[in-house]
Amino acid sequence: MIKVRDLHKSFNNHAVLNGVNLELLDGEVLSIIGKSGTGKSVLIKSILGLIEPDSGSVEVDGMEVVGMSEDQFNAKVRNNISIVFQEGALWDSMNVGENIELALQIKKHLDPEEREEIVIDSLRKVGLENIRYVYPEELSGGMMKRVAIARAIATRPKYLFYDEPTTGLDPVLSNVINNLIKKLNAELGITTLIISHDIKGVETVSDRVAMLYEGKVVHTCNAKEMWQQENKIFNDFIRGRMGINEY
Amino acid sequence: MFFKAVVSFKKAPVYSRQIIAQFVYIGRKSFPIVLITSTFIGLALGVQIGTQMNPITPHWMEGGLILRSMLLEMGPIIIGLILSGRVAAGIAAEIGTMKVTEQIDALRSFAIDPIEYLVMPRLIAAMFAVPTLLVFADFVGIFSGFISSFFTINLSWASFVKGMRHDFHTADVLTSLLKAYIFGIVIVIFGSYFGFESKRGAKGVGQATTLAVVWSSVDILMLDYLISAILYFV
Ligand SMILES: Nc1ncnc2c1ncn2[C@@H]1O[C@H](COP(=O)(O)OP(=O)(O)O)[C@@H](O)[C@H]1O
Ligand SMILES: [Mg+2]
Repeated sequence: MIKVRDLHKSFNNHAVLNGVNLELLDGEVLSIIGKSGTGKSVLIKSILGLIEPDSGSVEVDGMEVVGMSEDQFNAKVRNNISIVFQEGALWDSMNVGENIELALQIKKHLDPEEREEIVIDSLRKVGLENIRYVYPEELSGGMMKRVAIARAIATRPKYLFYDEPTTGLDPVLSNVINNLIKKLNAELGITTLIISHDIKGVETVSDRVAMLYEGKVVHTCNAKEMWQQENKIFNDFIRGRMGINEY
Repeated sequence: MFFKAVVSFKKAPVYSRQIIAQFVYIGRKSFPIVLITSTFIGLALGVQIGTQMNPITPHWMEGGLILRSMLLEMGPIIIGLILSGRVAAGIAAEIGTMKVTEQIDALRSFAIDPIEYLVMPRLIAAMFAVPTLLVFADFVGIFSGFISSFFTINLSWASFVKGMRHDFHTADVLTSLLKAYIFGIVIVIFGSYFGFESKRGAKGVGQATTLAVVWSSVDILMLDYLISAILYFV
């Protein structure tokens, strides 16, 4: 379980996270929704230590991670959590297979055959066994995201964070990705956190939904009941009624 | 960053592939431009020094003058400035792009140290490639210096060599190499630093590239003076 408590982060005196409280339960799929620029990416990067929060606490499986050194994050946190970055963030000087192999360096005890097997298996899980020697620049947006997912699951993480996995994809591809997320959660038991704008996708994929607004989580609910909520901000947002001035 | 990169030298064998790729990038691909610039600097030196030879200066001295100018100043400075433009800019653009497309975050998220992975191999490659390019530039520059002396004041090869022999000091060669070695470090460190500091967006990467070129060029000229001055006084 991951517990975020009263997390704060400002950039140049502008408070982005202003007391975030959030729990990610083992085995679930939780989606975080909210306008762009509200700090959703900052939040997930803070959990992994890629951004250092100003104050607050993040507990991963009961272990406080805020204030850890880079080495401690590497040894205790990053080997259990993977991120699928927004544009994939594949390393573009390397082909698809090499991307996965490099990520696997975090698992030091593996021998070459095991690594090889994991590379092939991860690509198979996202339905892309044939593109191992292709370079990222030759991939379409949807394929890039799927390779990023393959790279993220290769390390067998307990937790997987997706940063806007369907943004920029057409509805058909969005469906493919959403189904994949659901499948990986069910088959591998990966606890999943998704950042998303794709309300329909959120409804089908998630167990719970949380909304980030002005630096705080203002509402959390079950995904199945998301259309029957009382919270005005939440309702306006999922129905696309948030005033243009608020952007 | 420099010290962190140096500390990670012990892991160099793991990154031998990256080091070789960077050596090729810095070394071989800079070859043509170094060839062209050092040829023309040598030619210009020949003309310049040739026209300053007056009737009472023995013409054979020109060989020594060209040799020392090339070794001590022209060679290292051409290499330093050309590689600031090509290599520091390239490194800043590449690392900057990786920064703004979250590739650096992705490295860290898989427990890969970006300095160890990106800076260290470039640093090691530059420490070998830049002095190698310098030796090449020195030879080309001195030879083209001779060619233009021949056409300017009709200097013979024998007198040119006599001049070079007269003024040859091993210390000059070492100074030349020392400068190239240090300039190589400067180029990689400034290129990497501004790449990592790059602000979001394509504009951020452009700015990083410009800053890397400006700062590494300026630093190279200042260090060039400092090294010359220190070695002169000791
Ligand atoms: N490294 C950074 N430096 C400065 N400002 C940042 C940085 N990362 C994010 N921000 C700012 O924080 C705010 C939230 O960004 P982000 O978390 O990316 O939003 P989103 O909710 O769209 O993912 C934005 O205003 C952004 O400009
Ligand atoms: Mg974001």
